Amino acid sequence: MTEAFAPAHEVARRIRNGEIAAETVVADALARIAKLDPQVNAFTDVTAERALASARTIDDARTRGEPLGPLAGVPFAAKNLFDIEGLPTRAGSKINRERPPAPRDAVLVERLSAAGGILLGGLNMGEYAYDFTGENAHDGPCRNPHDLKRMAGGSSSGSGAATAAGFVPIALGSDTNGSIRVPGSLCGVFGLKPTYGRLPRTRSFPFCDSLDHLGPLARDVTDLALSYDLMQGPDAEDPACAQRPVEPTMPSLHDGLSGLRIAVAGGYFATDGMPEAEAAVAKVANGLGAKRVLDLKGAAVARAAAFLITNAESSSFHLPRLRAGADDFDPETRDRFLAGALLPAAWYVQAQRARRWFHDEMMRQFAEVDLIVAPATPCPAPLVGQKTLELRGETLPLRPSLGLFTQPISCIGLPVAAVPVQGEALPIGVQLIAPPWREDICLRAAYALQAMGVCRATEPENLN
Amino acid sequence: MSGAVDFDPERHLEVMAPTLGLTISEEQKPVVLQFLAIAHNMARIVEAAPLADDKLELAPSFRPGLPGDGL
Repeated sequence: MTEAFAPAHEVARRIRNGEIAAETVVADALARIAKLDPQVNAFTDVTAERALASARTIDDARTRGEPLGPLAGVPFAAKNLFDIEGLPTRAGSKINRERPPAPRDAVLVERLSAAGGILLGGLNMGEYAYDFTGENAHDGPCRNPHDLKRMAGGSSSGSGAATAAGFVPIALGSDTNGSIRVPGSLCGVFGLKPTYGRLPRTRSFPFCDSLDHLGPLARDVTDLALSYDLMQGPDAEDPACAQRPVEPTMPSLHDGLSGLRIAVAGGYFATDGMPEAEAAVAKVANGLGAKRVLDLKGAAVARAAAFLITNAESSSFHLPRLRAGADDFDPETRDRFLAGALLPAAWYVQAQRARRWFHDEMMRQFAEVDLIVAPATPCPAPLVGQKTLELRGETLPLRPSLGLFTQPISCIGLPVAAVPVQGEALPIGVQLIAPPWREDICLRAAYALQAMGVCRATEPENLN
Repeated sequence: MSGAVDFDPERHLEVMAPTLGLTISEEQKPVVLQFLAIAHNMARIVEAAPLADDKLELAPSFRPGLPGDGL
């Protein structure tokens, strides 16, 4: 493994032990970004001065013998909908660049920084997070480090690509309908979408209040769990944030699979005609010893509900911006926002009722299982610019179809780890879905799969 | 609601866009109409959910006394 792909917890250990300086780690990461990111386009802002100053602070603290945090000197980056002090929070848009610079970092950026993490900058994303592709009319498409002709997946495209490319070991993303899990799948990295309400969204730019989640992506499961644990805890400024104490997942990470009742999602989640997804689910199910197939009845309703709730809430939020200048939007998001602004209220209310109904149905299923395995995306990374997808004999529009398997799960806020399986040519992800507030189960299973070698984030072969 | 009754995306757009103060250009209209049709299809799927007709339980919850824009 090359230095750029070392796990974050290992980098932090070396820095704490004085084997390497934080400034060296950060300078190396910045040099790699300067050299390779023009091909990938993961970063929209690189905060080099801030990063180097923070690294020197860590090194000085070590010299003085002060205790260092669990992420001491570890580079990380954040999707550009997280506030970064001194930068306008663009959220993938052109319009937001006129906003004043953020006066303070987003709360999750602050929490990782407090643990010693060093922010390297803001990451590319689909405009206002309404995206599964990673394409962006203003900043250019974010490309897949495993094949630069292909999509990174969205909307946390830069978060998936920056981790896969070895620019940072940990990145922050957001997931409303699959925007952590889709780029995680296409870029071949691990991602965690925690339970709705777990991590505070304070000082991040919203998309759809009912469904917005924040979470980490990483190349290593220990890093995923560690960063997640460090970000837990309520914050008073996010009304949707549950007032739950920190429930650390690291203590049970190595507990293995013993005692877990694991099933594979069937029915709506069947992968017939999707050979790569089918093979990946089979590998993970085999690794986990999951034989039972569970038909998650109502998943199609949940996906439709998520579509309507997202369309209505986000379009209502952007209505003043649509009135003032619709042509300043990315055309790929603009027309969906315009349509969403016109939806009848009854469709939205029915979607929120159906969401409650599917939640209750799934709670009954979780009386019998602890973890459900499902595909993350129907296929590995499509080509940049591709508009349609062949699924089960039908030609479908690509953009909404990439979220086919992720949308029903985020609709009811369940915690999910997306885990990468290496296919013949490209990686593809699998979802590990647990009951509410049981991120520990998702991460335990993800760690077991990584330890078995079933799931791993591979280094891109041709990125140099 | 969304039902099998006629839903004419174009007529809906012509009425609702000015109601909301939106100007939708001829260039934008075809794709907006496509998305309205997709949304209508989604509404039909959601309408088919077997919901009790004596319950109104919406997923979002509102908790008075906790932070939000109004406080």
